[in-house]
Amino acid sequence: MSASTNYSWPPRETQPDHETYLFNRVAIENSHLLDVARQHGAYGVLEESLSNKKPGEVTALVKDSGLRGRGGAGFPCGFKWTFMPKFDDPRPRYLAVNADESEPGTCKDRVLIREDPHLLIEGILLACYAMQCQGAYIFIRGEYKNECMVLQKAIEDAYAAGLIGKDIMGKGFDCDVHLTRGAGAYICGEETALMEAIEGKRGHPRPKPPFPAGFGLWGQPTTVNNVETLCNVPFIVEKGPDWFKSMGTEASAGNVLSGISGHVKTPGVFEVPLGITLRELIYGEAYGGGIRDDKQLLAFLPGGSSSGFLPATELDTPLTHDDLKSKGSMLGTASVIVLDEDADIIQATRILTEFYMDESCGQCSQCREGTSWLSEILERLEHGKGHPDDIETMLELCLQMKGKTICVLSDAAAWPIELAIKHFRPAFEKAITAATEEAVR
Amino acid sequence: MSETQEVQTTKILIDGVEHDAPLGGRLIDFLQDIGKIIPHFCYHPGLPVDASCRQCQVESKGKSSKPGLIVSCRETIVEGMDILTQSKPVEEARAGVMEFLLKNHPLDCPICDKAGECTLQDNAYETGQDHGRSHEDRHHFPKRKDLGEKILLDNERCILCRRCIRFFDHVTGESQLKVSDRGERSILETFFDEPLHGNYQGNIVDLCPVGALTLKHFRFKSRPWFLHPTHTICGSCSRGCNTVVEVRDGKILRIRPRYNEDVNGYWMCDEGRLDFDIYNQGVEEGRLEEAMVLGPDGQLHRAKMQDAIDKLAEALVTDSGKVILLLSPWATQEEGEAFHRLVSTLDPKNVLAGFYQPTQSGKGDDLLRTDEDAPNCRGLRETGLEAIDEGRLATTLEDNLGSSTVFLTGFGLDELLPDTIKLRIKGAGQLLFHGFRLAHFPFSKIAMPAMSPMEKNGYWINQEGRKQYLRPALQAPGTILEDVALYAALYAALDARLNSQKDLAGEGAQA
Repeated sequence: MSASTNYSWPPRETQPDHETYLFNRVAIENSHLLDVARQHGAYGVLEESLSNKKPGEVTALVKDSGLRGRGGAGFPCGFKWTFMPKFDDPRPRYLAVNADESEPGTCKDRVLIREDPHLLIEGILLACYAMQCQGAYIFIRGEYKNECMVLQKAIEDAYAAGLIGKDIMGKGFDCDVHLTRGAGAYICGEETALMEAIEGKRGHPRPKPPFPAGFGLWGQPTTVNNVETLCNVPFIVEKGPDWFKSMGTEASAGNVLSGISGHVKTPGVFEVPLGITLRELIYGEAYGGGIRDDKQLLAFLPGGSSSGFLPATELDTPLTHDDLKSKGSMLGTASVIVLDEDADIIQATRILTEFYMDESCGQCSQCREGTSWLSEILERLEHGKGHPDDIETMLELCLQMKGKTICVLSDAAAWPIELAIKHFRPAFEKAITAATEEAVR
Repeated sequence: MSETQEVQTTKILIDGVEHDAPLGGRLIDFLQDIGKIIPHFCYHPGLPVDASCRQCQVESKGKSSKPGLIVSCRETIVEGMDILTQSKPVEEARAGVMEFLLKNHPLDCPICDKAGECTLQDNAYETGQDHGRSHEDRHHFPKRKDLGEKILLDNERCILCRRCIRFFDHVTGESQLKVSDRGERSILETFFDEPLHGNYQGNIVDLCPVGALTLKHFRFKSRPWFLHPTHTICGSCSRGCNTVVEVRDGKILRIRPRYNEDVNGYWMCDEGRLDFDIYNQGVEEGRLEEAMVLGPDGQLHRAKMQDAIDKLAEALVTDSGKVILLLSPWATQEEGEAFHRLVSTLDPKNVLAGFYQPTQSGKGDDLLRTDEDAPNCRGLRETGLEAIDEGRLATTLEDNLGSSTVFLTGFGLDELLPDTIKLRIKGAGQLLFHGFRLAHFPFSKIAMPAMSPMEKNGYWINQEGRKQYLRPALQAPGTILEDVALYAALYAALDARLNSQKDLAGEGAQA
């Protein structure tokens, strides 16, 4: 691999004070072209692995590294691979790559796909080799038009160079990579809806079980991995699990791409070791650079819209799966959205809820009706038309929406509201009191 | 499940009581079988599981399945299950779903045709709350949307259970409905807004758990609780679908399929479902209700039943020309046997007797409808009656032009006979008619009224040899003799006439 280092998008002059790997190539000019990428080490690990490693060894390396999925749920990646049936199972098997990055505030995969598509393809091929998949299906978000074109060219170039297809690099391994473009539905990022969408159907999540490893794409064993997760794989295979575990924390190893947006001075996507505090991310000169106009922080979402608002008092929470979970939030996609003191928390919650209302697939009763009901209540509150029972109703609706539906979109819609009420209850109560007083007058 | 298959059972706990449950069976089916009320909307035993309404939740305590609320329509029975169907979390979850479903439902029960047999009403009564908490305006969607000649759609009432979609997707195999848009804007539509087509549309109205899909035929005709149901058999083809015929004030208002796993499952075709107007016809609509005999003025006049029967017997015992006796394939087994006994008294040399075997209509499909447009051909063949098809009938009529006597008997024959045959019958000689309507045969010499299959008891044997019982849903007018009784009376009259002829012949020989 190349010796250059970079931790940020857009790239900065400053050098990071921690080891980086994911973003090292993205700052290089024309890094998306096959020649440039190969000059800087692309496909080296693949060639070495195809020659010298058995599929099971690759899986073992990833499993030992403790790499957890970067798509939101944080499921251990290597462990997921071992759910696939044994190699003597005659059925075809597939890898589905989740590039449907639609979580509000999240744009980390986008940088990887656009600037270093060959890293992704190498990761895909290593994963396919480890699980002996015949093919990989990349499902890319419909709005990512440029990224789609870059990735399509990268795939075509790799085919032409014998890096994908029959007898890859002359090592006797066959694997095809297909690119499917979405049509603009958030729900297609849910793994089973993603498979339905790849199959050409309406993106409705499937009830689980059966899980994808037993009944996935076209009913065959399938593993679904996120783009960033797969981009970690070549480095783990190259440098080993111990190197990987030297970064991050024990339960959340490695580096993560964290996007910082909202009311900060220098928004961007940064490669940071897991365990960094949110204070560092938001206020650190190398990252967010503090709140714009030096105002006070009101709240932040630590990991995409579903993770819910945390108040300024939680700034010292480390960015790990378990620490954020203990705060009732989650690491999610590690994409931080920052609100300053001028923001209206009710409005912000309403905007998030409206997003879920818009994106609910409409299958389950609770989600279809609940998301719209909640956003209607929030809209009333925002416009000073609250009812005294609104907070209680919202909390009960959230309770009815959690854990009772086919997929977790319903839960994801409920969490931010619950957290907003938990941490910012006075704001909600004030809105309701004002409305009742107005009504009495 | 058929009895020959051996089903492995396992002991599971339901509300603390041990039950022997079929291993691998569907949990909701078993719970309902043992009498538990499991409210549900999207689940239907005849369709693939969708598990989207989330109303059939029960609580699992066992180690074998994940503890907590589970959706019973998706769950298969495994060893060691411990299920609670009435616990507090279950009731809260069900009430929660009801609240969500009712939030935007128009609650127009007073003007909704489904009221009284609506699953949403039942479940709201069973598991819902007595008040709504919503302060928001209800969402509005298109109402009275025309889905073709048979069905209307009310999108506001629709709860998006998608049973109708799955029916077309998986039962008829030709997708016609879909949900457009997503989330709270989800709306049931046909593809490209085209009207529904096909012979099985009516089933989606039965499937609809609310009043979203209504049959134009039944719209605003009656509250369902005023209907008198009769379990009987459909006669539109030789499938013999099991049906419920629903009657109010002596008129059939609705026919619906009745579950029979071996014959029609949960479904029936629209032809059998909707073509019932003929049975409701009275004298004003052209029904024959009294015996009529041709008078000297060339007009048909009312006659006493016995006189008509005597005249019929007289006409049948003739030496001049061919006698053709044709029984309708709608006749029951009992009628077939009585008819068989009747024709066996006649001299076979001069007589062509049997039931009419309709020509393959080409209306058959892979699902239910067969190509045979009458219910009991197979049964009548088993009584020993001869099957007379169109060709045979045509040649016999042609060969005996002007000199034959034709006796058509039984409901349905006039509709089944092709026009060419009807023309030939007109030129045949004399026509003796026993049927439901005289419309096609005003030139009959004698006309006797017959009962419709909705008015009689009896057996039909369907195309696969299944004997099924026919029950009367309607009461026939008192002036009509049952078909079996008519054949018996006619037999007696013929017998008397033939015996007296023999006696005469004997006396002549002695003299």
